[in-house]
Amino acid sequence: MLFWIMPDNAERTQSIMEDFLLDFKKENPGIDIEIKVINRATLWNKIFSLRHLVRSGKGPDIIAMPHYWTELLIKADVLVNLTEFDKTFRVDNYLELLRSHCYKNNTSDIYSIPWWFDITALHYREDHLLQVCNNPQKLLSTWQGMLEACKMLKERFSDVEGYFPMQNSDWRGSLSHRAVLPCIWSRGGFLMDEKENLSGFNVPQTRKGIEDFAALALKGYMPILRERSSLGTISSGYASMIMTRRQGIAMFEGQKANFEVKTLPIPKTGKEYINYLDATNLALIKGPNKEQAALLLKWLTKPENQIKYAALTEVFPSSEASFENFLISSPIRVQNYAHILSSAKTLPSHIASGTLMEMLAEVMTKIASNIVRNDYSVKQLETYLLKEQKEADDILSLYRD
Amino acid sequence: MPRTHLLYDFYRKMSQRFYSFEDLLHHALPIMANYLGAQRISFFNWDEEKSIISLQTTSLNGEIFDLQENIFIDKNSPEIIKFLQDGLMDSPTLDYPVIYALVKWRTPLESLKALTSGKQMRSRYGVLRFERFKKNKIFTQSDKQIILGLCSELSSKINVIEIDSYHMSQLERARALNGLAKLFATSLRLADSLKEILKSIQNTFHFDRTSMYLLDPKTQVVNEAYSADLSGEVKSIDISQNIHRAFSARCPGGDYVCPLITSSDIVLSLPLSMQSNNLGWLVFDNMLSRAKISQEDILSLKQFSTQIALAIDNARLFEKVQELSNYDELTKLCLRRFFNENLSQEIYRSQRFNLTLAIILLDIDHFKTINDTYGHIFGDEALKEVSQVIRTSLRQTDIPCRYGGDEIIIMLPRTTAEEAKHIAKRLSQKVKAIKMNPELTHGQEVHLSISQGIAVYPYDSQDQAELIHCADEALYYVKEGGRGFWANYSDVKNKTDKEENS
Repeated sequence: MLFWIMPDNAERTQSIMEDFLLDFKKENPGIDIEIKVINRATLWNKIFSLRHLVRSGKGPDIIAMPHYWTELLIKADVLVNLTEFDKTFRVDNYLELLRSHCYKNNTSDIYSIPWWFDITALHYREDHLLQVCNNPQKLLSTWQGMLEACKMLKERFSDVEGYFPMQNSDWRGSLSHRAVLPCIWSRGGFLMDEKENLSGFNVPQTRKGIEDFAALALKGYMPILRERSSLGTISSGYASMIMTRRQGIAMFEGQKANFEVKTLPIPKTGKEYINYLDATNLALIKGPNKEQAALLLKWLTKPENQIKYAALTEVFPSSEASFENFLISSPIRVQNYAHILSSAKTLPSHIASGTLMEMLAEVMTKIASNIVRNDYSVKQLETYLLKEQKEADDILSLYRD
Repeated sequence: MPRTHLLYDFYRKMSQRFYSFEDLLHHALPIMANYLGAQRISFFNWDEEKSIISLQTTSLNGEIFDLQENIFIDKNSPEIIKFLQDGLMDSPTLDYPVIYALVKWRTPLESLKALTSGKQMRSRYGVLRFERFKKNKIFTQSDKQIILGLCSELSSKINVIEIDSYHMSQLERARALNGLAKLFATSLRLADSLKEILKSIQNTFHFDRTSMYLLDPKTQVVNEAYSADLSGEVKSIDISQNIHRAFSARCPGGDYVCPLITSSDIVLSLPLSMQSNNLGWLVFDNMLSRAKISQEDILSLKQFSTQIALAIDNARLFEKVQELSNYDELTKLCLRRFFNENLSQEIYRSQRFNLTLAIILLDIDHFKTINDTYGHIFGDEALKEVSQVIRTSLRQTDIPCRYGGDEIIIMLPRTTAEEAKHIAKRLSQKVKAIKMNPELTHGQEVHLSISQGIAVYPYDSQDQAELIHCADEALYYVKEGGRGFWANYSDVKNKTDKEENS
């Protein structure tokens, strides 16, 4: 059985998953699992030829994928209808925000099961921030305040070579299209309107939100497109803040740091706090090993295994029971994430959601290059967004049904 | 190991066939890392357009990883100009021993570009990054010489694999296209052909969507459209809905008659033309995946659009011939052979699913006299008018047929005797309401009427010929009884039996 997963734990993904599956293998000695780690960009390209891979017998039997790709894969006719396959599959015991992405739109047929989710938050070193302001929590409540904090921190640590106020959490070292979403949404911008008819690339609020986020790189507060840009971490003292979707408690407590890291919602760029929730769902691929793959899917989504994997990966388990257990196991988690979760938002379950994210990624990559080349301008950004707006509207028109 | 031995060892270990660039890197990187004592080695693709090198593969302590990392690289900066000359560069920012090495190879140009530029190959660059983060052991001059040697060997292997995979993909394409060509040549039924053509294109080229818009040959307006999506399923597009706004928006004047005349990296539109006649368009798009449509695909599809147009034209001609052989030109009603085939199938279906089936046999009253009095032209007009009434008064499943002369037979599937009588009454009324052109009758008003005989399967007969005979008996009864009305065989038989018994 072939299991495609994304690099949830970077270079350690394969070994962590192999260790994690030891118990499953003990319970199911006859099932051989081959794990293939595929990054999100490669996976995106592969899913469009998945039907042909499956037909030639080279496809996976089970995959982990962004939850908002479910509808696309259903349309590609590669996913097993879990409701038809086994009536015991259900998702009503999962967090409400995650449920709609499991179904084929406008039906009660389940095609994917939430595995884990993460949510954006701002983590900061209190010792650093207290050196430049009295009330970090207040200062970091707005985007403008956070940029001011960055400015002060940059001056304060100007003698530390390689220091940036903000650690770049994007694995590619670029401007993350997922990290920019809270800025866009908080401004009132959007990628797709509520009726899912029109895209919002070129609405002023979307552009403003992107400008807000790009300011971090433009003003030199966050490194982009540099070698191994994730180096220069807040743990090593080369950064004071990080905006990441991974939950910060394990990340910093585990290192027994001699400083305190606090967690806040992503500072608001507009009127309200909005934090981006991204989930990873599991789905079975049509093929000869469905029965075995279903056993693995059930095992991976057992509440106790969800909690275990979430802890290993610094994410959150997605079933209601396991999430509650996970949260209340740490009072700090409850304190930090109650507010963040209440303002969580995710992408709609639409065949074009993945495409619109790719388009946003393209815009962010272009402006990242512009910033590094010193030829970034708002006019240039507007040109990129206008082009994407037209294409996105075409896509939404084509795939309205 | 001395440098020459090491390079020979690498050459030997790489002397095997690799089926992809990925395979090659997965094999080579751990070996190279081992020679250099590097804990991590990464291969980056150089995207000159975006001024970025993008991580493709990383090997850490012998294991391969699929991760992402982008680094900005300015080709005009002095450091990069020097890197392009020397082939080696130290890390500008990392604080442990890291060295970058240039890998340069040549790759075949896609056919279309090769045709226009006259060049067959183009240069491509990649970058290897060697990292020693465990013991901070710096890279010596000797290490650097080894790296240059390894890069040179790797470059030559990449050259081979690039040409090899180019030939393989050409071969696969030729095979696939040959299959498509066969299909186009043998497709005769239009609707089936279109579906098969779209399916085959999807299976060969893997587009997100392939659509076909066909023009009505007379009006030159789109009257038929199909599309095959990611699942390979072919559906007809409802052209009354403006769902192809994406394409029409780009047409001059925004008229949907021309679905798409633009082409970009992810959308390609090709006209289907036959002898300067535009039959329609084929539209290929990767709008969801945003994968660029390759020049190779464009070239193949351009060649094939002519064959597809030919296949469509052939299929249309075939349909026309079929229509001519199955339908009467004057009345537009089907001919006897076509009717008999369908009646036979319908009787089988009725038998299988326990259904009733009615037939009506009719003729125009006094048709011979009409012909003799007003001439054949008027007779033909009368026949056309009656046929027109019949064609427009029936359900889609009913089949009317010119059975011979002025005799018309109608098959009414899933119809009872009562329903058939109701239909006969309606036809009779409509025929009576026909107003013939007085110019053809020297100003005289001529009113038409019809006589109709009905027979119903299975009650009157379960045999095809006998059923028609029953309808004929009923028609005879009507004619004998004064014409202009209708009768059902069972009723006629009951009546006759009663008369005989009394």
